[in-house]
Amino acid sequence: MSYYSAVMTSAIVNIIAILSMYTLMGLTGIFSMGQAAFMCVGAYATGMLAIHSHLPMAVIVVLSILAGMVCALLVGFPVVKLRRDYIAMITMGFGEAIVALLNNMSNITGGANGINNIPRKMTLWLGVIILALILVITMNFKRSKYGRYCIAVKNDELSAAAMGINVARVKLTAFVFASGITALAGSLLAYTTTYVEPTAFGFTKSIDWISFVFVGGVNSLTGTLLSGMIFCTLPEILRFADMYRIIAQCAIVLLVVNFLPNGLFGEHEFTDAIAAIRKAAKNRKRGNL
Amino acid sequence: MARLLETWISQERMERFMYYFQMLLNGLSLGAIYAIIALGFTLIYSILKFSNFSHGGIMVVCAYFAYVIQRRYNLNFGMMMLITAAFGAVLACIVQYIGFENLRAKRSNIMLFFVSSSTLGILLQNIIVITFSSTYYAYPAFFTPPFIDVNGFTFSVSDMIMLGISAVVILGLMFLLYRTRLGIAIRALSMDGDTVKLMGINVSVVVALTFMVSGALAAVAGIFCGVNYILYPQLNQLVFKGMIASILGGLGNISGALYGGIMLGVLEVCFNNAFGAGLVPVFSFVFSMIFLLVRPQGIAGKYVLDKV
Repeated sequence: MSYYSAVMTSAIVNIIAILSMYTLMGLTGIFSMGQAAFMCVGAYATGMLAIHSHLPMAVIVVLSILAGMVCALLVGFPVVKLRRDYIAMITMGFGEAIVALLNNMSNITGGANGINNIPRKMTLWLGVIILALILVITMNFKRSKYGRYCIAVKNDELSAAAMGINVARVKLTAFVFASGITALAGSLLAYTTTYVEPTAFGFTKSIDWISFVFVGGVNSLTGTLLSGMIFCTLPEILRFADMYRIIAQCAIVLLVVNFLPNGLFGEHEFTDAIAAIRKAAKNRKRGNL
Repeated sequence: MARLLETWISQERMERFMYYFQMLLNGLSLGAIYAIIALGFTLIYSILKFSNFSHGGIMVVCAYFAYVIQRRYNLNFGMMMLITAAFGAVLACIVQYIGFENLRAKRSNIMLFFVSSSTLGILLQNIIVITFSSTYYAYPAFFTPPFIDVNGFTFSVSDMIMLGISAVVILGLMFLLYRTRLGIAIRALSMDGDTVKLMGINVSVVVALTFMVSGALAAVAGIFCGVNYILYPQLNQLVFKGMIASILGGLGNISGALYGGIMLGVLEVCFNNAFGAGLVPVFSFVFSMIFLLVRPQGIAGKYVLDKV
């Protein structure tokens, strides 16, 4: 794998994770401080299955996604009825607990050494295809009944409930759906880097994802995709700046939060532009007639 | 009677009692640290209704600041604590100005406060990483002798002193909140921001002062963490313990944060002795899940679904 395609592949894996955060944060307003833990679950499920079994890659990936979703169901169930802060706290606790568990069950998980020698089956084109698939799925989720429920819940839980939306269920659905995508990203990560270790999934990572979503635009899939692309390749470009990179990133996020509260794209999508052009073209045609 | 008592208090019973007593004392001193973190966290939560993750960042910066001034001017523990608390207050005020002043003026969505505060936390942590690198530092030994020996059982002097200082700090905070004009203003603000404005209270000033109080608490907590563990940039994440404590106690409830912190500290020491240090986060997590299922409003809180 050449340098650029390696960078692009790992960027794509991260963008998939950021898209899952978009469903949580941008659509539903769930503040998950430990979303990286679900990536950890996916990565470890893939790692263990790939080492200890002879299942084909597709089956392993699907099983990893299921593992992530089951964890999300268990974690989400007690807290979806409560305020957002509780979800932040429980997911963050889940992240710490998973790392502690992985470090201590060294006979299965390899402890702090992690799992090595996972076969590298991830290629750039496979990544692009999966990313496109996830984009389509997320876009359809946003447009579906559930997506609209989610937006209603984000804006005001009380009025959403008054309109007959089962708030807890919508939150749980979004949480499980998003965690499935995060676990997929984790699974692909394991196939890309060929090793997994527990410390890579701290809560800093989750917070990074959240800020990327916010810089892109709270409600815009296009914005999230774009900011994901920028922020995931930026570290490679700014390698010389080393530590100052994080400072710059934080400064950008603070500026955006303070002065562009809706993010770069706000509520707008790429498809809006196409629709506008089409409409303009139609009007001109009509004018010609 | 005396003989009966003597046989009842056998050597074995005495040892077991001392063992549990020691455990309780350790738990209380750890719980006191968590309670101080949780109090600073809850103060902000109660007035602005968001979880302030930058609290951890302020804690780390203050802990390192204390180390630097102690090294340079060779201060004693009390002096170091006072100066650092003042520094923490100023720092929190700056953080408030950068991160939240604008959002508050625009009445932004609560999620923006979340993002702003967690970004500030990471920013402060990374400023420390850049200036001090990720190596570990330790405070000099303030207390000699570090341990006292009672009947073959050792008690850490620093634990006792921290427990004492925490008690003083908590009493001071309670006095501030319940006996002064500022305290009344803060409590009124926690109930209803708009009405408070109508009563002729300058909300911006009260918010800034509350941040200063919480920053001073963060400074105390940061120094305690540094004494109890060691100085490293990831001390930031201990704000998470404060968050668990304040949620278990009842979010936004001052006395709840106190109970929650002490409960969490004692529980962690118990889990530590029963299952080993590595698995403590797992059991804390399971415990808090079960606790939230049984009593979502926390120990002292009232559960209300509030408007966003």
